[in-house]
Amino acid sequence: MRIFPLFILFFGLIHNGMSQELNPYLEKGDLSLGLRSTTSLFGHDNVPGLGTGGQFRLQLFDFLSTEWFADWITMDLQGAGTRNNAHIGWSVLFYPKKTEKFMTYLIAGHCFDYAEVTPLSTAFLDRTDERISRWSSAVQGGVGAHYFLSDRFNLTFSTQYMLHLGQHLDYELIQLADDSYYLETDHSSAAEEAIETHVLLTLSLNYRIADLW
Amino acid sequence: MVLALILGVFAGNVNAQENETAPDKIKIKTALSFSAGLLTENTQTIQLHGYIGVRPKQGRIELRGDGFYFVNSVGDRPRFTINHQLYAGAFYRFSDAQIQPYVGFQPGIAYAQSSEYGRFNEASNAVQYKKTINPVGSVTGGLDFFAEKLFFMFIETRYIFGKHKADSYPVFLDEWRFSFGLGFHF
Repeated sequence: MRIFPLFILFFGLIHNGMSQELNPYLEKGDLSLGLRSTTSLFGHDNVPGLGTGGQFRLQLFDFLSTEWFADWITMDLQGAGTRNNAHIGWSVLFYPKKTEKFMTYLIAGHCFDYAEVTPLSTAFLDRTDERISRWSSAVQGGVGAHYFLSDRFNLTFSTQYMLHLGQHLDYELIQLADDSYYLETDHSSAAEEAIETHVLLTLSLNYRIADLW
Repeated sequence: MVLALILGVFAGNVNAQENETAPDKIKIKTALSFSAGLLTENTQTIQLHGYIGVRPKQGRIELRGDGFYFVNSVGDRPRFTINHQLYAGAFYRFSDAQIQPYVGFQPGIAYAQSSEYGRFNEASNAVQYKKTINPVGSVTGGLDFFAEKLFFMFIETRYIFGKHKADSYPVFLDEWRFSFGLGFHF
């Protein structure tokens, strides 16, 4: 919790000296609601995932905003099983440069993550008792850009790198001789503390619903 | 769709002091249609399609929520028994004339059940087909035709992408859909 004031102080100092009137499209006190579509890449299994979610943004200062989000991401593990991820968290957006309709930013934040891996079952084989799941925490950071189509509405694209901290899911996707895959969820050993990473590409549609101050 | 309504209410009421989105300058559209879909392997689907959209009368951006109720599918490989979908997103209108072309993007969710791939349940000694919610997205293009004061017609097509993932084999949700319907605008 101590990091947040330091973060604001740090970027506030960097921002000091820039023009105070940063952007007519972004003003402190703005509250916006948005919907997002997320692609997850380069994760544990190197298979892409597709996610849907929502977010709201609260602009604290002209140069600093916060984003509060939730995502539901699902992955097909090469036909051998399914991985579902739920992310719920928050990020801080820093706008380093004064621009107009096109606005770039740096983003960093934290989220809680639920992951569930389910091996493939068939009409002849039930493997649901091999399903594994865990809660963990993650931090994420990256870059993004808003494109304002009107003073209220923007399209946003961001790229973030996410690091999962804490207990990882103990499973392995094994390639078989016929190029098919088998998902092995190993319950024999205790899951280890490890860092799991992936890249998130997010496209969101955001609408400003209120000017709170 | 619920979110689009909430957005519309907020846009109309929270910041009513801003002329652009004062309640009397908000345009609301709601429409209903049957939607036909094309899947691979010579398979067609039919859905009931409804939506509600909200935009400033002078604006080009419309926020819109869509719902598809899966009715049936026919052809060589009808692969779902359930495939209901909800979308919410934004559309850009190229004109304010009587005929208005538009394009849009909407993230969404699909509540689906495979009719092909299930898992054997030892307890019930039967094959079960799990219903799951999976993310989908769609890009849409279409035309609105405003002929009357309150009524309008629309025709649109959308490409849906996503994958149904449950506890058995995954199934693509990718589909081309075509809707032709009637609606009210206020």
